[in-house]
Amino acid sequence: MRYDVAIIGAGADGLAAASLLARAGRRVTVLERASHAGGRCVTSEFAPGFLASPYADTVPSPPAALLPLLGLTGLMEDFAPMGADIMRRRGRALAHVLEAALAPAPQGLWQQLKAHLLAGGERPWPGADWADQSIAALRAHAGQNDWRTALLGRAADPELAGSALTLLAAPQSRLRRGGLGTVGTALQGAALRAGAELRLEADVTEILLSRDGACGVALADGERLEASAVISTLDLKRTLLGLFRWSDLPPGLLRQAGAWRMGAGRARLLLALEAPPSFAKPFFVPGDDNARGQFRHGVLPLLPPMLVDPVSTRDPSLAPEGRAVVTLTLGAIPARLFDGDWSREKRETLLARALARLQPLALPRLLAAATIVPPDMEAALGLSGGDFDGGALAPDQMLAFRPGARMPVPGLYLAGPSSAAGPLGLGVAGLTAALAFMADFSARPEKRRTA
Amino acid sequence: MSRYDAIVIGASVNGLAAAALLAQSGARVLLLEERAAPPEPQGPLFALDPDLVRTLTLARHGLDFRRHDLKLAVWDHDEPPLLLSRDSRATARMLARTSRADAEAWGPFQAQLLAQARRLRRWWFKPQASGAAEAMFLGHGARRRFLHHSLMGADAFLARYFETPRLVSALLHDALPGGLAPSEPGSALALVWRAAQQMAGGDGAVALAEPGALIVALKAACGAQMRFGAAVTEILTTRGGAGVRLDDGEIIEARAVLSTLTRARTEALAGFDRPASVSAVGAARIRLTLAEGAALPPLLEEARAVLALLPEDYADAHEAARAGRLPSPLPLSLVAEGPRTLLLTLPLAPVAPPGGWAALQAPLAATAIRGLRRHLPGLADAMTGVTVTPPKHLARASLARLVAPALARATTRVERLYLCGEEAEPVPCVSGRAGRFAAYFAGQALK
Repeated sequence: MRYDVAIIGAGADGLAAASLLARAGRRVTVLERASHAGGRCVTSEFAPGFLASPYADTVPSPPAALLPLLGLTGLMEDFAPMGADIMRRRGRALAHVLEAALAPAPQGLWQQLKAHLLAGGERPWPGADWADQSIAALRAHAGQNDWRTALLGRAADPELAGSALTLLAAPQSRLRRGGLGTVGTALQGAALRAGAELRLEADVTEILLSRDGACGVALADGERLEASAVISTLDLKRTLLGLFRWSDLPPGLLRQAGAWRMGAGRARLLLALEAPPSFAKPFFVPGDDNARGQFRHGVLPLLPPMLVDPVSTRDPSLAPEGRAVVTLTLGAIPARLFDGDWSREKRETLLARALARLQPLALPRLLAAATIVPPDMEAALGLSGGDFDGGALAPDQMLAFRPGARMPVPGLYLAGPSSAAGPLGLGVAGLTAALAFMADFSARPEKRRTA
Repeated sequence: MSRYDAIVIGASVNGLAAAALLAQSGARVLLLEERAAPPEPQGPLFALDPDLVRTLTLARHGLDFRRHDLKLAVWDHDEPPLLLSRDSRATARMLARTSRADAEAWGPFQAQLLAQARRLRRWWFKPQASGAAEAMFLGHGARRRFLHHSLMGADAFLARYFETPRLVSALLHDALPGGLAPSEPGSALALVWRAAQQMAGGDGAVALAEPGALIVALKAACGAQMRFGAAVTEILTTRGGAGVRLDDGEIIEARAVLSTLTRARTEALAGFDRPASVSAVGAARIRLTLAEGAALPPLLEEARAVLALLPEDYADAHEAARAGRLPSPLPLSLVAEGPRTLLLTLPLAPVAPPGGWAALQAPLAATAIRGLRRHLPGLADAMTGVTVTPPKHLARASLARLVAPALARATTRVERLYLCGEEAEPVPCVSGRAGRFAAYFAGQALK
């Protein structure tokens, strides 16, 4: 059987793309390496009776207009309200990305004329004025706390020009109930109801190429699936450097993928407590002056920045009656340490240091804890270096300088965190890639429009 | 009381240049300098404006160079130095000793810088009144490449080409003028700016003037009236003109005023009070005099040297300096000004340390000298004098300033009050170009 689209990865992006395409009547299969769908949007039982989202508690929510399209209406609430300016900019930037996805690849006489007409005038993307702006300078009108949560798990330095762009990707929404797994379940349900096929434990090892582009995928067990197009929700490095024979790709593309810079990792500590903690609201513990320097040199920071969130206080379904779950999100955590692997001792050190910093709060007795560090996220979610953003959010890697949905290989679409829409909201990269596919294949569904 | 066409405040290289050019065009110009003599610029010249040298015939007035085309030496204490010069092939051969990949990348790296520098030269070397730097690039692809480059940090840009950490860190050294961080947008473009200066020819490339020769030549070429020991306490704005009040109360009127002071200082003198936003990181200099008979390594005859560090050390140093701490290790370059004088430049020094600069001078010099211990054994014994020059209080360098048209950098909130000091340059340097541009804009306004 030949599919219209094979989607690699059943995270929010993959499921959103599947459900949109299946509703449009396309034959879609979603291939997921893990034994469950959802990607980072999962809730798991890390100790008997204690639930938490292992990778994150908050997500950058897409603009409200897109929520019904994703089937996520009413599930989320604001965690750290953003200034209206930030949400407006996120929406404008996304509109730009969607417009590019709907239009065929820019080329030809009109494009050249437009370039000349715009000479010295319009910047290539909205938000260009933030490329030279620091968060510290914007702090005054960016709201109270959001800049710190925007930076958490990212190595951006709030004092440096260009850091303002990370605000576009700031995670500001959390789930009303059930943790991020609720989103995963909702998206999975929508995709299956629309008629998409979901295959779990299907590990894609190669994207197959024919004379005119991507034509299917090969799985680890040797099975080959034919498809008119492939949407990858993996990051740029993993997609291009991991799923192709290098000799098959143009050298320029390989160089670009090689030069793509990954950002910082984060660590998550999930704590099962005997009783509710003394605090009811999340709070931020700043890191010390040396944390970023230690991160740069691959040293485990002594005092990394840390967000402490008593998740079960607002959502009691996460902990057994009378008990509590607190999550800690630690920033500036190196994916690779200069002195060897992330051993058990180092994980224990990380936990012990974090707990020592919470000493003054007199936490109730710790019943169990789970430590999740960047290599775990790389192994579980396929994120290179454990970077949630699929590439550093630097001005030269954002918006127009982030890969669009269309890859230079015909029939291959990028929907992961590395794509332009990736940092702008949960699932929107999947929507963007699906729309780009439909724009390219709408005229003659069975025949690829040649660029 | 007489009325001048223009008053220039400050007899720095830029001030002398502006006064000389305005006088040459027939204006009556008065040059005021607070000190008793024009201040001598410090350090090697990266960017002496060739147009200025030509127009003012500075060579005929005695401008002479001790050394042209200084190479850049990446100096490690336990490995032979890497010598980078304008000769691309010689440099590639030199790099091939440690890394083949670096040797192969040197040509394309230079080609990329020079291709953009060739375009942007017109932008940076002409008194542009308006427009955008990207308009220098025709075609969608070229413009997009330029925009991408301008948003890149120098660390990321250099990592695309080179693998040897000490090579990357030495090249970073030149990309961080005016307090930019290695990862900030604009720092990669600063490398293009440097390349544009080097393309300007022997006088524009990295050179060392004979001590005093530049100031003497400019003074000789300057047909303006000069007054030394005259401190300006106020800049006056009058209808259709401007003027200054001196510390002895004297008022001098003119049709335009050009200031070599910083923007914050200039606007404060003109009566605007606003909190001056000053870069927290700036370049400090240390001059070391050595005893008679002390020998400098032959390397310093032909090159300025950058101590080999790791690229991460530069990011760490920027963070430390910004917080007012003394970086360790301390990024450092040095040049032999004479047979017994060494000038050290520390691009990432704290501008306003919490304890004040007086308290920082001794530890800064001690750290710098300690950093040199293994490169120059016996330095501590041979030293007879140490002078520390703190960083200037300049506005922070930024991408916006690098790509702004010259007029935007030269104008102030007061009509006919122009800036022609280091802050009117795209990045802090001693080129005289800001003086030339301010003279041009003032000349246009006076017509």
